[in-house]
Amino acid sequence: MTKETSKTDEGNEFNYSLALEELQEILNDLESDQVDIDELAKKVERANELLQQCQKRLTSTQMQVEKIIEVLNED
Amino acid sequence: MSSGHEIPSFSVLQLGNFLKDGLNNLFPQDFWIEGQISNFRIVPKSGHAYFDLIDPVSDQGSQPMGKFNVALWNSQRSEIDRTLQNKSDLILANDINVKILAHLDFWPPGGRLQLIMRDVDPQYTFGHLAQEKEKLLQILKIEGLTEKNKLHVIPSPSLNVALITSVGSAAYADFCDELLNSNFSFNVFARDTRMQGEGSAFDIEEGLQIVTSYQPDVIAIIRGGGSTSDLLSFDSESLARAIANSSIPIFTGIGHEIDRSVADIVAHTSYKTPTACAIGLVKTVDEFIEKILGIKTNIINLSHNKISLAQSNHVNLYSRTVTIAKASLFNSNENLKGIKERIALITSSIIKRNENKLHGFEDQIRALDPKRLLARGWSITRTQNGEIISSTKNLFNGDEIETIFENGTVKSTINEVVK
Repeated sequence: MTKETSKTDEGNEFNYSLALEELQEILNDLESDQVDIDELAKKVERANELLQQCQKRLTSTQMQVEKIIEVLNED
Repeated sequence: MSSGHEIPSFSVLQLGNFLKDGLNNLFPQDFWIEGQISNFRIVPKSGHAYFDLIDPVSDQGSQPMGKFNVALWNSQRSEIDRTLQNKSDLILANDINVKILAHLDFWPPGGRLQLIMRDVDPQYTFGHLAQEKEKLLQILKIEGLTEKNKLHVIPSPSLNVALITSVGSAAYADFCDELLNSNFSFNVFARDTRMQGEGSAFDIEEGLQIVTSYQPDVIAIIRGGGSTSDLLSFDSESLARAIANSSIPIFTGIGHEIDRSVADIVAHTSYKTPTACAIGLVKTVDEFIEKILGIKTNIINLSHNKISLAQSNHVNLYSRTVTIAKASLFNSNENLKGIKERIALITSSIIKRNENKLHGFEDQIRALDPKRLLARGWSITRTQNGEIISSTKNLFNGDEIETIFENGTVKSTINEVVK
């Protein structure tokens, strides 16, 4: 595991904002023109992984929120 | 008896009659005389009234400077009483000042000089009383005593009532009935007190002192209506001072039709009748209950307001939460989408950039490839050792060399070196 992955995967809890931070770092690296082609695939793969996790969290949060709103509306 | 300075000699009766005749000559007509009544009494059997007419004294008990016995025959007494009653609501009583029409007479059988009262000037007494009262009120006012008892705050509710009255009187019954009918749990402590006649002002003062020791909420002084003379004790200065200086608020209910007594004026609150006084007390409790009910209503209203405010806040918060949550989710989604797009864009641009770089290398490399030179007619010449010949410097006739073309190699021998 690289240092970057450990930042968000450390512990069991997925942290959305840490994941976003890491994504931003990856974007900064990519935009800096200094990215090594050997690293590129690794970085894009990590970014994809983070994006998927974020999307998953967003979807589950949305479902939770909708469920709560439904309960609130019933009251 | 000797001549010249003959000393008269009388029998007792002779002297008595002589004096009587002499007085009749000296005062042939009735005359007016002013003074204060003291020691008033009526002989029940005859109905005649007797009193002392004295020079007014300021202090009770001190010796008057002048004094006459006065007799009022029964035959005239009822008329005089009627005159006083009708014109000034007074009756003959101790301590009041009167102007009487009288005849001075000596009564030999009793050896007594006396005034025979024939009439009375009711205006005089009335005016005198009013003047005295006005003077007293002025003094009390200057000393701040007319307002002093009014400064006490009536405890709310005032249920502990000390009562100064003649227990068993109609006034007492009216007062108690009124309190009883209110259905409030009044606690009445009654001090049975003489409410008229000589010394009654003192009795009332004593009653005040005693009931004060029980620390009631209020003290009520009540009595039914009466003549002006009956109510004279309520104009007493010492009673007025006792009421004004009382540590307890004092209500009065002294029956009167026209005038308020000094006691009424210095009291905290005065009523025209004992019943009105009791109603006043009931009213203080009513007001207390009303106040409590008002507070209760206020509490209920305030609670309702708070709850509905909280409810509307809740609804507001709820809709804000929903809106914000939805917006936040939408923004997060957009954000992720943006990141994805940027990564795709950047990645492809990086790959493109690197591809371009590679193509550049390729072109350069291709440009340098010797095969391409050979194809265009260039050739490479080497020694037998394989060293590339780029100069004629070390070449000599007879040396064997090989020349490489695009499609083959030619071996040859040097015939001539041209330098």
